[in-house]
Amino acid sequence: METQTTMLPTTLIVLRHSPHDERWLAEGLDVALVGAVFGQEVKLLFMGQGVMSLIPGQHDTLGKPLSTSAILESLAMYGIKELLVPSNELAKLNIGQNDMMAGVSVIDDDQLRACFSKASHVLTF
Amino acid sequence: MTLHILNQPASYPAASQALSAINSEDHLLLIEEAVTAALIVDDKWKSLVGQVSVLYEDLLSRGLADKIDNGCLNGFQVIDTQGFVALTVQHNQLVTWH
Repeated sequence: METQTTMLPTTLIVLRHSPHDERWLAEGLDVALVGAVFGQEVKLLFMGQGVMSLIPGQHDTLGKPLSTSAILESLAMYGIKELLVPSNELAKLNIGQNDMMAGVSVIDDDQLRACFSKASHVLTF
Repeated sequence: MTLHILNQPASYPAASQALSAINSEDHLLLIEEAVTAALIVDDKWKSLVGQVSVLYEDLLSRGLADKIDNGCLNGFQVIDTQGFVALTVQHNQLVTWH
C-alpha cells in the first residue's frame, strides 16, 4: 500500500482594496473563511489600500466599526494565521508594523514572489 | 507558472502590484486599459520584454494598431484572442490584477 504525505492546498487571497470599499474586502474575507472551513490553508496578502484593513479602529462615517474589522480579528479562530504585508507597500503608505494589528508578518520582495509561485490557488480582490 | 492579467494603466497601483508579484517564469498579459503600458519604455517594463504580451483587439480599439511592428509593440509581443486562450492553457495559474 502506498502512503502519501498529504499537504493542505494553499490558497493565497490578495486583498488590494480599502476597507472603506467594503465590498471587495468582505468578499475576499468570505472566501478566506469558506476556504479555511473546508480545509484549505489560507494566506492573506494585503497590498495597496488593502493594507489599511490592518490598522485597528476603522469606522464608517457614523462612527460604527466596519463589519470587516470584526472578521479580521477572528481569523485565527478559523485557522488563518498568515496575514502578510510586503515591506514596500508599508513604505509607500509610511506605515510601521506597530501601527497594525497583532499577528501581521512583513515580507520582502522575494517572499512576495514566492507567495504567488507556491500557492495552489490565487484569488485577487 | 502563472499568467498574470492586467487591465489597468501602468500608473495605477494594480500595475505596480502585478510587477512586484511576477516571478521569472511567469507571463504578463496586458488587456483593456493596460495595453497603453506597452507604449512606456522605462527600465522596469523593458526588463520584462520577453515575459509580456499585449492583446491585439484592445490595441486596435484604442487606435494603437498602427504602432505594431513585426508582431510587436516596443518589443512586447502582440497576441490576438486565440493567443490569449493559448496562454491560459499553457499556465497552471491565472491571477487577475483589476
